[in-house]
Amino acid sequence: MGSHAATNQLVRRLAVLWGFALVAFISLASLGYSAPPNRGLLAILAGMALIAEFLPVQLPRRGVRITFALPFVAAVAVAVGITNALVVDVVATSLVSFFLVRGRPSGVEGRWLASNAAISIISSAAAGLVITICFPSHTPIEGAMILFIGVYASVNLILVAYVEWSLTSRAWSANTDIVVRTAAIGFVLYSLVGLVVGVLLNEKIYWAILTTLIPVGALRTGLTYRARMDEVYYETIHSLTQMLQRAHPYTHGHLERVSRTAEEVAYRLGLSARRARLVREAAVLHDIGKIAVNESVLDKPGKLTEEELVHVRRHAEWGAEILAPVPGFADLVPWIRHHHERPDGTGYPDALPDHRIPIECKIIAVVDAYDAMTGDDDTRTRTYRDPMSEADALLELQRCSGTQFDCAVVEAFRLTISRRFE
Amino acid sequence: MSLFSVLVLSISVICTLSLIFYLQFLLPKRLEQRYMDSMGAFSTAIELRYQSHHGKTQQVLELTRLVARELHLTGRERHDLEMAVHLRDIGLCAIPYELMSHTTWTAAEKATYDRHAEVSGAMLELVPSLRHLASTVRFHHMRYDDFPKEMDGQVFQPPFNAEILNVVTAYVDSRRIDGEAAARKTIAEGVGTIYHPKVAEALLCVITSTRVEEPLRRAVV
Repeated sequence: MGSHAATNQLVRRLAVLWGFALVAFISLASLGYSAPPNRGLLAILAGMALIAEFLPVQLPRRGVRITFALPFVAAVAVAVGITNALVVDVVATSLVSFFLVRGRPSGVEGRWLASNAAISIISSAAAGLVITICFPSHTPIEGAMILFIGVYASVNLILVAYVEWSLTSRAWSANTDIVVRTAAIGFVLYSLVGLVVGVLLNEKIYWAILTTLIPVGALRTGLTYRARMDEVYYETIHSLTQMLQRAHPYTHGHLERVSRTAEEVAYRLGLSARRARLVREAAVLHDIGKIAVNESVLDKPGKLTEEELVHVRRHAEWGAEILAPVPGFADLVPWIRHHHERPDGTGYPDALPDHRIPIECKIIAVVDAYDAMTGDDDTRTRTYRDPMSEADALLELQRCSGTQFDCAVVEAFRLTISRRFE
Repeated sequence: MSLFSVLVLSISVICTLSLIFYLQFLLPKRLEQRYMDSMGAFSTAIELRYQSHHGKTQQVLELTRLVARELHLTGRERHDLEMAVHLRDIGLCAIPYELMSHTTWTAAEKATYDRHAEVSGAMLELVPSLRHLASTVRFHHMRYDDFPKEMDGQVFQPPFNAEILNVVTAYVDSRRIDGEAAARKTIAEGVGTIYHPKVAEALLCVITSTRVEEPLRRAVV
């Protein structure tokens, strides 16, 4: 999807979200607003929510920003009033949003953050309504807080998944495992802090609530390390592909196209979001072993000698060898090694039988072959013939289906490609 | 205070302290190890491309560790130095494959080869978390007496880690080709001109020390 179309789509989704947010706000207001009974407590909790919101951890390339304001918003909801919680949440989210997008030229970030604010309102309102129904007197405080956190986190993540689903057009199920996993982790972390805040509220030791910033800070540091590890992982992928492009400049563009399509095919074949992401990353790195291949052999016009063929074919083993020292690539190493295996058992380097070839290798094999056959501008230099048309390349894949390529993968690929031309 | 409250608060204090201990002492080491392992992919790629480099990174790494210890480098400096060892030759991927199989080079070929440090540095500039190593890598084959010199209107002195890499890689290269005695002579003759005197002395001290016999054997055999 082009960026313009994506922006339009986002604006449309945003209108829907704000509509829901308005309904949620009116529903909540109809419950009646009461002045906060304890302004000092409201100030402490609102201040802590703001501090926590201002210290987000951004997970690289996943578009996920984690903050720890929720336990304090839940405390406001339970101890001071639901409407106050909604106001605190929206003010904190909007203030942070304002500072984050300030000075950025594109309006897209602003729209994204506006959608965040709408999602916050809906989540707060939903959580507030549920605890009002389940715990009319908001006691026990700890129970009410954990319920608030659970409902808020779930609604929030479902809405985030909805926005992502509507923008990426992936199957809803593709986002389910990520949503469930993130919700579970978030719920546990928020609940732990929320439980402590709840106990302190219950015991009326308000000043001690300030000390909960210590575990919040520790959890934040842990997540920052996690984000750092992710960053190292992606930077390693990027740097390795840079090396490959320096050695073999034609790969520019090829890897990007193959990885994008491979991920789509993985989704179509029903792989989980995590697995599809790994397929995309493996597809970027699938030819990394070609760093060790003599470029004059690889770019040689005409037929390769037996010796040259053996040399070129070793790239699959070399790729696995290069990635083997990196623990984060453990899943990818066998896929890189076996991406030239064939269902008829005549592939290389290990001539694996069909049932031992991972589906991820089969996906990469099909997408790689198609891209090599259709050859965009930068790949033409390495193919020793004129590029094929898309239709001819698809026919060729189907002709080799069952021998060189997996039948199910070829079919999934055909559907993926056909959808693009619709 | 109720028993439940005491229990929750006690557990939360224990969990927080454990988390802080883990974050302070265990996780950074794990992250550092993971980081270093990732760097191994780069040196492996280069050693696979050029068989003449096979095993060289491990040799340079072992010897660099000894020299760094001899020079009393801090943990942070040693960490950066070890990363630079893995990354120092990534620019070689841009050098023609055939060139590395030649036994003798023309002046043009030598100039092409000599560009690898510059290319390595340029590649690292593109990676935010490795950018701070770019200068070390870029100047790891420079002559000591070429600096300080004016660059971009400022007096520039290469990082000390670049001086260490220069000496150690020169020693390892020379030793792999001409043997131990010739390598030692190469370094001794270049003290103060090609090689930083302090680093060269540290290297010569390390390779003659009986205390480091075993690591040294691993490094240079």
